[in-house]
Amino acid sequence: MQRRFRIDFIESRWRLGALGWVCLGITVLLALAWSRLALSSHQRIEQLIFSKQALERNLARERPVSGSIEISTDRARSVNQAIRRLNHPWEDVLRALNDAASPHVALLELAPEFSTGTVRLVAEARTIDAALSLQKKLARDPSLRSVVLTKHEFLSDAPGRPVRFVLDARLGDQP
Amino acid sequence: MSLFTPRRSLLAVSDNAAALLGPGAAPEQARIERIDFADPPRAQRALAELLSAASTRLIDIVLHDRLVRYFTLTPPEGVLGLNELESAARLRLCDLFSVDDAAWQLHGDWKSDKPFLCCALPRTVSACFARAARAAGKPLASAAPLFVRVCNRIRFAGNSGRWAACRHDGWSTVAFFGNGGCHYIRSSALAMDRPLSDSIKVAALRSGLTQREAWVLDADVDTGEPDDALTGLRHLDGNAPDVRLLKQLSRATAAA
Repeated sequence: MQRRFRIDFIESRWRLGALGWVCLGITVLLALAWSRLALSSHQRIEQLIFSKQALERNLARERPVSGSIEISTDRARSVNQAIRRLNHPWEDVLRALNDAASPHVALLELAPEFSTGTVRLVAEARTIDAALSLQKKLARDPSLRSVVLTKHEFLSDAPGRPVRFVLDARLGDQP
Repeated sequence: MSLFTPRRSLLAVSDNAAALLGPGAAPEQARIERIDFADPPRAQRALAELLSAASTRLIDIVLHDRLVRYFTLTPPEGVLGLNELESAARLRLCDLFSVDDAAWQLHGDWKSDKPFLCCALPRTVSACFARAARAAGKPLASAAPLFVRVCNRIRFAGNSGRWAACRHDGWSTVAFFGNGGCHYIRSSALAMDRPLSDSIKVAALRSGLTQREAWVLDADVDTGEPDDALTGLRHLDGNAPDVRLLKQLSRATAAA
């Protein structure tokens, strides 16, 4: 289609009639009302967010923070060891030793090893039978597991030639 | 007219008179004033008086084709911008009509790839319009010659070429449009006793464009005449306000 010839000796200007001005005015008023409504809604939302944050802060103050705290591996290990040491039923181990006590055996050393879950017992007995008897009695006690005679030595320089021996046992709660 | 655009009055201007018509009024009710553009201040006062009498705020102006100069321009090779097209158009205006282009206001249907229509109006006339509008406090909405206004009402369809011819007050303008461009245009006097198709035939001979389809508007005769040489003649509406107002203006000035 042939379009209009652009020949006009007056510079064209965009003009509105009365109805056009009325519609433009209504559109402007609507736009102003809309922007006012949007602004007040935005302010209300911001107020609600602020109130929510204040409530959360108050709640956090009243309730202890239960979150994880990061500590080093060494510190964790030492804390776990202390907890294991404190939590182990030492009364049972001492009771087991007490029950197995014999006048022929003298306890020299009791050394627990928490990293491996074992306890080392160093004692002296008059005879090897007394040593073996102690090992059997401790093996039967539920607080100790796998009680093994790992070393023995006759002390030829000492009178009566006692036997010094080592018993290694696993603590009852260790696998 | 759209509900959203303001109502406008129509001012018809010939080389010696002007007529103002309000919206919806009959041409016989137009107010007519003598205008002498050779005396610009007096012409400006007369126009301002007419414009002040308008009932609407905006005024459209329809110019008699005798006031303007029509020509076509083929864009030069390698044209880069509108300034170059305008310069070429001014040169052609001087060449064709032997006038000082500075004294003319030039407008064109600018194109870069095909021939287009150009139209020039003396600056004394356009300056009168501007000063009169300022004095009357009435802005001018448009000012275009009748032939352009008539062509803008035609819906050209397709690319096939077609003549367009318009006569009013013994002055005819004939142009050939095709492929989106204007290939020929000529304005000249044409006596009332000669058919408008004569102008088309002469134009066809001169230009070598032999198409036979034409749009015609002959405001000087009441009935369209059949013509054997032109088979595709379509008569345009001669009852448009601008055509009737110019007709009324020429009648009034002839009678005076």
